[in-house]
Amino acid sequence: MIINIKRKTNFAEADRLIERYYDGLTTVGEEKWLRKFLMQSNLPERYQVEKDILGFYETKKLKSTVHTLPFARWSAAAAILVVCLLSVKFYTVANPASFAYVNGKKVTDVQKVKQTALASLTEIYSADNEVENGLNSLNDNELIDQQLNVFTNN
Amino acid sequence: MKSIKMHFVPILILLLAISPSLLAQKDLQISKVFDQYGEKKGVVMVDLTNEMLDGYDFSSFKSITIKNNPSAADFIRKCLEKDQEGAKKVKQVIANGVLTSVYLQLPRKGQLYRLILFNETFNPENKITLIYIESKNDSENILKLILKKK
Repeated sequence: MIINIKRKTNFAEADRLIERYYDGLTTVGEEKWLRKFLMQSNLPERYQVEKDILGFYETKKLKSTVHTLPFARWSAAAAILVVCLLSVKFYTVANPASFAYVNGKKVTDVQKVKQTALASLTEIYSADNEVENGLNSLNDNELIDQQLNVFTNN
Repeated sequence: MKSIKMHFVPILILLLAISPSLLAQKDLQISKVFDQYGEKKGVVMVDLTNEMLDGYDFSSFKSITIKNNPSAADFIRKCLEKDQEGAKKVKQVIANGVLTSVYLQLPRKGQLYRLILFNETFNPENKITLIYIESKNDSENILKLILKKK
């Protein structure tokens, strides 16, 4: 009952304001109220013309709010980026870029890791030396002389 | 929408630029060696990223040393057979028909020069050393630097 009375008062107020609107006497606040009123659903048919006129401005206003969507999108994208960066940071802290495994035990001290790396490089140098020494011994004149002597002695 | 595209293109390019360097070694068969044997006993594995090592500037340095594991050595040789396709052999030693040492210069991956060094010794014990190097410096220069150390 109370709602119905209030609704009737609203209609009366709306009628009064529509009249003022056509007379060009409405204030900004009154027009705002009127727009809000006309945006309601289940309004009597007699308000259709005013709804079309003032509703046009309202939809235009709504459309302008659509422009704020890219901002929301960008905010979401920025938030995702921040989360990704933080995840990468946490991941890199948990899994350091440089590490070594010695007999199944993880070593993360960079200096120790570097020493271990140098040790593996040394394996390659020394192996390369062995090959070179072998090749040098093949060119050794003394060795060749000894081998030739085998034939001269025969 | 256009502005989104304009901003996403550089991000996409950045991701594409980063991903090859992250995955440069993963396209090789030897990556399986590091995955399979790296954390086992009797094995020493090193993984250095963007570190200076004895004057060398490496984007990535991975090495693995395995002792007394002939099956691992055979597995590495099989991996190297695949990885040496399209690579330049700088040095190769075959003893009794078995590959015991090889230095491979792999084709460049983006800006990165890549090298594989493999060696197997038998005295005083059986020891395999496999090294994978990625660097922005020319691999010829890296090899010269390494061999100069002798």
